[in-house]
Amino acid sequence: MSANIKKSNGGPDRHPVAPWMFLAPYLLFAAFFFVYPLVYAAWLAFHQTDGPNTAVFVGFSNFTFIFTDPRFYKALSNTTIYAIASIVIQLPIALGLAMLLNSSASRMKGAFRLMIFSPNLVGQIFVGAMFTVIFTPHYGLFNKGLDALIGWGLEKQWLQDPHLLLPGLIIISLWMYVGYNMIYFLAGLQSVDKQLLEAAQIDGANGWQTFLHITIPQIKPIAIFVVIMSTIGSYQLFELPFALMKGQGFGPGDSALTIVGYLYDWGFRNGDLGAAAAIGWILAAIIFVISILQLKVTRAYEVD
Amino acid sequence: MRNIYPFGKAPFVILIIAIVAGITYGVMKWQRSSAKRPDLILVFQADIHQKLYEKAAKDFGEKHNCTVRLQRVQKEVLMDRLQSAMQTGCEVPDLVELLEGTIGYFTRGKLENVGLVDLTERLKAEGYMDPERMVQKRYALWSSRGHIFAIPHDVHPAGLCYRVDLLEKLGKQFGFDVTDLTTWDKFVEIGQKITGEWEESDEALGIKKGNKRYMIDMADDSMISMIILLTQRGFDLFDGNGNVAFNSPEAAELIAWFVHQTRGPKRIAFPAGDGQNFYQGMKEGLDLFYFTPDWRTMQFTVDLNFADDNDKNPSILKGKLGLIPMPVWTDENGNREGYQTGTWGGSGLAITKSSKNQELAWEFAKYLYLEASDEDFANRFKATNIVPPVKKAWSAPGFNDDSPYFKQMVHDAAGNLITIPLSLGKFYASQADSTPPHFSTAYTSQAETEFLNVYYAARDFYESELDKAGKDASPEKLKEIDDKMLQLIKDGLKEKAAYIGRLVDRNVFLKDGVAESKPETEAKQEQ
Amino acid sequence: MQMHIVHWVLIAAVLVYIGLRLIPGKGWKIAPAYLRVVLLCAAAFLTLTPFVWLICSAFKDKTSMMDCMFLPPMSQWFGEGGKLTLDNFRTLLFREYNSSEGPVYFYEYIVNSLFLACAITSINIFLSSMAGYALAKYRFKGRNVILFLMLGSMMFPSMLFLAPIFKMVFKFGWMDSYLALIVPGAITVFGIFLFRQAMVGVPNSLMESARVDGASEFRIYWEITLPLVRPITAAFCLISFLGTWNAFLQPQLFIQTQSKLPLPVVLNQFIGMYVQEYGVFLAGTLLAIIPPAILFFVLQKEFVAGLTSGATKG
Repeated sequence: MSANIKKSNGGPDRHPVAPWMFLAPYLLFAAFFFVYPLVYAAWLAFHQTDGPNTAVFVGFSNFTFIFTDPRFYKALSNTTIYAIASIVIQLPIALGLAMLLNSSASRMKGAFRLMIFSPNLVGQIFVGAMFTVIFTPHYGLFNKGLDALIGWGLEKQWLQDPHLLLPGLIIISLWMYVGYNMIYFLAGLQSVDKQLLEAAQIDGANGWQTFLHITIPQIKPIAIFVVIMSTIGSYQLFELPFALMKGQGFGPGDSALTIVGYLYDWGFRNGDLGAAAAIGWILAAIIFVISILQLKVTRAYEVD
Repeated sequence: MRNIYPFGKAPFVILIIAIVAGITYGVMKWQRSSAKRPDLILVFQADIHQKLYEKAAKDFGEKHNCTVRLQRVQKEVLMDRLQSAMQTGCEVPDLVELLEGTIGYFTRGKLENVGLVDLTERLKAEGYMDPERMVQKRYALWSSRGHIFAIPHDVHPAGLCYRVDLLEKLGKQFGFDVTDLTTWDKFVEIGQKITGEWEESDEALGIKKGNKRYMIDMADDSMISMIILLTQRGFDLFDGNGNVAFNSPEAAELIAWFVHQTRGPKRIAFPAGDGQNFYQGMKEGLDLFYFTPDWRTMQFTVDLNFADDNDKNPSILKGKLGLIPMPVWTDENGNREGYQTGTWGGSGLAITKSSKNQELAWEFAKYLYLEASDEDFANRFKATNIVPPVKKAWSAPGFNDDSPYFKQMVHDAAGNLITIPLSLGKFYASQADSTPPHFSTAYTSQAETEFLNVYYAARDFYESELDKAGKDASPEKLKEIDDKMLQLIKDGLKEKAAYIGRLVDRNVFLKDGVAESKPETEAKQEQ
Repeated sequence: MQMHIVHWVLIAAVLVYIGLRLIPGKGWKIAPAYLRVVLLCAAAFLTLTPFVWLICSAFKDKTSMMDCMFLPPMSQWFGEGGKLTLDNFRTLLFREYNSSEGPVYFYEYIVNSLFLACAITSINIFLSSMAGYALAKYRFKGRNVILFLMLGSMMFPSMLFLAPIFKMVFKFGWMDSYLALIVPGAITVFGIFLFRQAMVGVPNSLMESARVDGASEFRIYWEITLPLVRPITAAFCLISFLGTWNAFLQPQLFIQTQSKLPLPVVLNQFIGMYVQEYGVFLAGTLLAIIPPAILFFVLQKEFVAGLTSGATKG
């Protein structure tokens, strides 16, 4: 590298070449695996294929088909319900756990954190595999546990009943991701200004008021981050329902069909990579719009 | 300042593992590739075929002086991988044993791009289209647009399996016997009486007081049961040209019937699931009858450890299972409508176009499926309980022997009900010619999903209407609900058929040989 | 509804809490802490139960698997009619899977997964940290453009790239080769940002003095900056390893031959294949989650720090 011949040069600014050499692998990579595929996907979206070595131009037909396909809307609604449930159910629980953990002794904290986070280590496929057995009616762990606890649910067919499949998915993802989100909230809680908390206590505020007016505003950045990440992750759900359904279809009545599942079905079961590319773009647009909306909404709250 | 782990222990360990694993992997790969590729590679899916095919492969290899290797793969793996491999030019086997319903998947594009060899002309030329020789209707499962791509392995007529001990008890209790269950009307009538809860415990029978008791196991999360019933009635989801065919009044009636059997106060069915749960249910008398094609009898035999030479504990169900033919559909005059039985499952053997030894592969295929000796056919039947479509096998010595594990209940000369052994060969072979054809296309799985959706909508409607009507609904009110539900189903089927038709039409690669789908296509009943 | 042991435990917990609240002074103060512990224990219990069940099921005998939820009473563990057995593992590890190219054993899949996960992680650490270093320690024209480009690339869902990359892999002839997994996985923008974040904190003075000593830029990066961000490197190790170890979709699509498959794809096959033998299948699952568990156990502190440092940047 020519950069090492320089002597007593000024600082990082004086190395016009070096940074580019360090970045070269990334730039090459981005050109091949980001820019080119993006353009290619746009091209593919206007074609129909049967496997990777055929392509026939079909104009907008992919898009018109997708937007008039009730199956797409089913996937959209499944995914959206799942995303909303992830935010509304999972995040408060994660926050609650983080708060419980925050005020604990450090040794216990580490142990509990490890335990509650552990499901996240297991990949979605493995989790799906486990739950195909856990969710069996009459004899599975979950149903038997429910029955023991509240005397209900022994016969519920979580994986065979179209109305129960999505709740089942939500339960599993709660188990998997609550620890992950909890860790983020924990970090956020630790950055809450202790002096403010003490001042509030001196002023006589009780726990609930401190929570509302001090804790929540302080963790807002982390919370926003978690919400957006959670949404984006939820919209890309695929492997968990795929594994639960044993790779055969997407549940009775497509009740486990997510947008990415729909993409996979068209691209790799029906062989139409063009439709898959079109769906990919539609998904990107959806995520984009939702993220913008979320940022706008949260910014609006920040005015106070 | 140099410390041994400048970047931390973890990355270092990971790097070491990467290198070691990489080397191991390289060695394994090198060992693999240095082995010589055999002349023929056959891929199959059912593990009960393993020993049989091994013997056949050895014998064939000796006779023709070549090497044949067998490989067992799974259904989903096969579908995704094989098609992908055929299309991307990766290595494929010579012969592939496909499972029912997958032919549509491989023939979803242009006929000339199908990766499997078109066997129609060969079969015709060598006399296998003769109904005296082969069960002709079975080719439907393996053809697309009139071209046959695989040789059928089986016919798979279905019977109903039951526990002799439980039916004896219930027969006395409710005043019927299994020989009465000849039509679906009678079956449902008796089923409604029986469905409920076990009145008392009996440890010898494995039942406990209060446990639920249903007449029949019918799946409600997949089309398995409905396809059996629909095809038995003489209808199907698609016709031979790949056109949608389920928008018919009979399909609507079937769905309505199915809703009545699976929900509501007159329910007689509960899905028993699969695997360990299924057998636990069988032990506890959860369902009394199970749809049982010929292959399932062997599945029960293996899973429940019936064979004596097993050192594992045989199940308490050993020797207690019996079979009756499926009840049939009848019209108002009591005449049979449709076929004697329905069909479930199936395997077929296809040859891949990229095989370098197509002629040899064809010879092996014939050796395996069509031209085996009587002794081989009989041994295969004993090992798998599967009736082949090759008719001469049905008279092979040993084929019609009584099964050591399955029984039937008949009336003896004095009119008493007795239990005697059953010959599985006779039982299933006699139904083989009355097994309906079943077509598969690239859109079969989606059609099944939509068909199921119509069922779910009807089921939800039925349940909510019943709730509204309350416990003391009048017969007129119930009839009104039924009529509304039937109309709902008809509309649903029409809509879904149109949707699937749109999918079929949309495929630009399918245009050869497929007549334009008409949404109003009426299903034709075949006999 | 019958009374189950869980009910008794819950009732006892509530009674203790009420009791503590009633004691004036010390008891009253301990009560909230006690409640906290109880709730956390409940959460941990619910979270760990499936794992306990998994471990138990992997050791249970096929025919009597459904007789008990976790473990049978101790008297039935070993000996005649023993319910605990290593059979599941035996079948798993020694049963030949006859595939296209001859018998394949389970350990081969483990080797595959280890290789892929470790190789990709190593390459990733190297390349991502390099890019992160450049962005952290240099001010140059176009830096903001590149940052913007990276942020933008994170906005697109990875699924959008699936179809075109599939076609590209096919065109490059990488089908059925590990190249199809390693090359597209060689750099992640998340990793770049992580390293950038960490390296910004390395004081420039160190670098300056090294430059004065005549060290090349690469040496500065390799011998000074990178070792100083050891915790982040460890965190990233874990993140990358987990991601690759658990990856399913890309191997499923790109790898054709059975002997090259990593564990998630193989396990998905198990679900259909061994559906009658839950024991074997669950034993496989158990084996598959052990390596990431070990790695996490060793690296948990760094992992948490690494995760959250990415977040606070927002």
